[in-house]
Amino acid sequence: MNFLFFTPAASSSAIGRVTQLVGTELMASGHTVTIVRTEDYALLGTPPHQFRTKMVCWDDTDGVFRVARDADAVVYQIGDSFPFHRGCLEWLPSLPGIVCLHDYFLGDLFRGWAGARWTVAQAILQSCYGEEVAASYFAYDNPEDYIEGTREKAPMTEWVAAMATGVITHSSWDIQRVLRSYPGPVEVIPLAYDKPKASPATGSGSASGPAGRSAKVDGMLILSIGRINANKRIDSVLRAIGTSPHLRNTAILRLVGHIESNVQARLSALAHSLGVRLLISGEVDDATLAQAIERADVVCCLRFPPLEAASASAIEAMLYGKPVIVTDTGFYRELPDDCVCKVRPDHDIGDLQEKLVFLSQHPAERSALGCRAAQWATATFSPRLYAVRLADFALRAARTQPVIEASRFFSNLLVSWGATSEGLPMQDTIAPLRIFEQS
Amino acid sequence: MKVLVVNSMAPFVWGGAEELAANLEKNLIAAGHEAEVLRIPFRWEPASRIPSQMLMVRGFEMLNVDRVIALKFPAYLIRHPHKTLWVLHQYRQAYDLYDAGQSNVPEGPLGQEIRRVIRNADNEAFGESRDLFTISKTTQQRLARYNDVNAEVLVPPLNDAELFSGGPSEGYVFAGGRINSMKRQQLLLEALALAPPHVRLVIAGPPDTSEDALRLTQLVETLELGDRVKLDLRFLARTEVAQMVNHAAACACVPYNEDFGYVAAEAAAAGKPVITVHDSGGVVDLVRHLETGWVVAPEPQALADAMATACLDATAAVKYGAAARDHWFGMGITWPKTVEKLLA
Repeated sequence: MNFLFFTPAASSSAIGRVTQLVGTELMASGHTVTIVRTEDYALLGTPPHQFRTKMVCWDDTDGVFRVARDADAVVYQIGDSFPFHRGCLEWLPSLPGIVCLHDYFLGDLFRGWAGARWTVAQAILQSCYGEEVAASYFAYDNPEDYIEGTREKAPMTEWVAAMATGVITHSSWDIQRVLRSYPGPVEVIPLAYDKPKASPATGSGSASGPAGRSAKVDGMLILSIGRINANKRIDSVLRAIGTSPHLRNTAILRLVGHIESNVQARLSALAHSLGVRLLISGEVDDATLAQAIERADVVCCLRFPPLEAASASAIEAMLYGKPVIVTDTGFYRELPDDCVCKVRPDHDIGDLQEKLVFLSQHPAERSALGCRAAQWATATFSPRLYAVRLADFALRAARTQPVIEASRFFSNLLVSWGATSEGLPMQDTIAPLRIFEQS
Repeated sequence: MKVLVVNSMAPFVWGGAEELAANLEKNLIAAGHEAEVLRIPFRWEPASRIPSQMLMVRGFEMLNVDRVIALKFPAYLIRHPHKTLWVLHQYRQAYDLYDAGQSNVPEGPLGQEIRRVIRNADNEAFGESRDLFTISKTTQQRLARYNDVNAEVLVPPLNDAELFSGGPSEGYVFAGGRINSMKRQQLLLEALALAPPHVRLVIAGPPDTSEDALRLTQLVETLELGDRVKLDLRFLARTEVAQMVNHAAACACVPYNEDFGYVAAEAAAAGKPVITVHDSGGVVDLVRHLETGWVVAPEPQALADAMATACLDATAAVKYGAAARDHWFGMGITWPKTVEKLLA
C-alpha cells in the first residue's frame, strides 16, 4: 500500500518519532510511505527525524495534492498541539483519512485552530456539545481552569473523529466517548516506540539546592521528563521527597524538558525551602535525553488530570528498564501492576513517598521492576506490530468508508437544519438508517 | 422532457393529492413529455421519526430526469438541479396546526427541535427550487407567514371536469371526500340535527380509519338522524361522485383550514352552490358568500340555516350554482396552461 502520513516531523516531536518508526517498518514490509510535514510555519524549518523517504510540507498545496493522488491510505497523527499539528487540520476536512489520536483532550489544538475561525469554531462547539458549553468555552482565565472546565465536557475528540475515516488510539481509558460519537472503525493499538542509544556525552543543566550544577550526582536520581506543566505534579514529587528525611538525604530530582522561566523559579524556590536537591536540565537533544534516562534510578511519570492516549515518556523509561512511578489514572492505569508503581491521584504525595523510600531501600527490587517493565514494553510497544495492524486497519477503514460517508452526509444535513446533540432522540433518527450498515 | 412528479404517500390512502399527482402525470404525457409519479412513503407518527424520513428523501439522487415537480412534504425535499415545487401542503402540524393545538409534535425542547428542523429543511427546499407555486391563497399565505417566502398561486384544474356536467336537484346536501376529523363531517351532522326535517344529507367517501367511520355512524344514531342521512363510507368511483354532485341541491365542504377544496371546484363546475365555513382555508377562496354559496361561522346553527336555505329555496340555489360555475370557468384553469406554467 501507499501510505501518506500527515505528521509533525521535527526531531523534538515524539509523535514524529512514532511516524519514523512505523514508517520504517512499513517500508521494510514493502509498503510505500510519504510524509507531509504538519508543523506551523515557525517550526517548519527545524531539523526533522530521518524518515528516509519523500517529504513535503503541508503548505505546498500542489505537492500535497500530487502525493495524495497516489495514496491508498492517508494517516493523520493528531496530538494536542496546534503548532505541531496545524497541517493536519488544514487538510483533514478535504482529504479525510485515518486519525491516530495521541491525546484524549484536544483543547489546545482546537483553540489554536479556532483563533482565526471564531464563527466556525462556535458552530462546532454548539454542534458537538450544545450552546451552554459553547458560550463558556473561551471564557476561562487560565490554562488550568480551562482544562479542568473542558476536559470532560468538551475534549474536542469528537470534532476530529468526525472528520476521520477511522480512528486509531493507543489506550482504552477514554475511548467510550469516541465510540459513542463516531460511527466508523476504532481500534486500540499500543503506541510504537523504541529506545534510542544514549550518547556518551554528559548531560548539562542548571541546578538549585544542594545538588549543585553537575549532572553527576550521589544518591538516588529521580527523573521526570517532558514539558514541565502543572499536570506533571512536580510539586508533589518535591513535597514527597522534602517531607521524608531519608529521601531528602538520598534523592535528587532531575527535570529534563522544556520549562518556562517562571515555573523554573517557582519550583527552584520550593525545592530550596524543602531542602530537596533539584536539577533542572531544560530541553535537551535526543541523545542527552537518552543518557538522562539511562542514568536515572527511578523515573516519575505522574499526570493528573490525564489527557493523553499514551505517554511516550513512560514507555521510553520502561524500554530502558527503569522503575517507573505513575499516577493510577488514564493510560497509566492500563500498565501492568507488576511493571510499574502506581500512586493514587488523591494521595500522590504519601503514596509517592512510600514508593520512593521502598525503591531507595531495595535496589534489587528496583532492578527487578525495571527488568519486567523492559520485557513487557519491548513486546507491547513494537513498531513492527504497529505497522502490521495499521496496514490491516487501513484496509478495514477503506471498506467501511461508504458507511462513514453516508453517516457524515446525514449528520451534516441534520445539523444544517438546526438539529443539536441535545434535542432529537438519536435512536429514533439512526434506527432507519441502519439500512446502510453492512450485513 | 423526462418529468418526474414526486409526491409523498401514506400506503392505502388515496385522496385529492394523489388524484392531482396522477392527473398531472397524465397531462404531462398528453403534452408530449415522458412522465412518471414517484411516491415516497411517509409516516408522521411518532413525530420524532419524521427527521429520519426527511433525511432519506434528501439522500435520493435523481438521475436521468430532466425536471422534477414535487408536491408534498417531505417529498419536495428531494434534490434535483431543476426542481419546481407545487406545494399542496407542508407538514402543517409543525406550523399552523401546531399553533392551533392540533399537532402530534410535542411541546418542549424535542418539539422545538423537530419544528426547527422541518422549517429549515422546508426553507432550503423552497430556496433551491427554480419555481415555487402553491395550490391556493391559503397555502401561499402560510408560506409567507411561517417561511417568509413568496409563492405564486397555481390553482389545480379539475381532473375530470366533463363528469361534473350538472343536473336537476334531488334536494339533498352532498358532502364528498375523505372522512376524518379534520374534514369535520361531524359538524354537518350536528347542523343537520338543528335543520328542518326536510333537509337531507349525503356523506360519501373513504374513512381514513375505522375510528373515523365509527364516530360518524355513532353520531347519526345518537342524533337520531338515520332517516335523513345517507352514509356511504367507501372509496367511490369518480362517476359515482359526479352523479351525487350533479343531483345535489348544494355541496358542503367544511374542513379545518384545508389548502384546497376539490369538492368546491367540482360543485362549481356542476353549477352547484357550496356551503363552507370561515376557517376552512382554501375552500373559502373559491366561494363568495350569497353569490356562489354560503360562507358561515363554523357552528351547527349557522350551517343548519345555510343547509335549510339550499334545500328550501331552489331559486337561490340555482342562482348561486350558476354564478359558481361562471366564476370557476372564468378563472380559465386548464391542464395545458398548468403544465406549461410548471415547465416554464
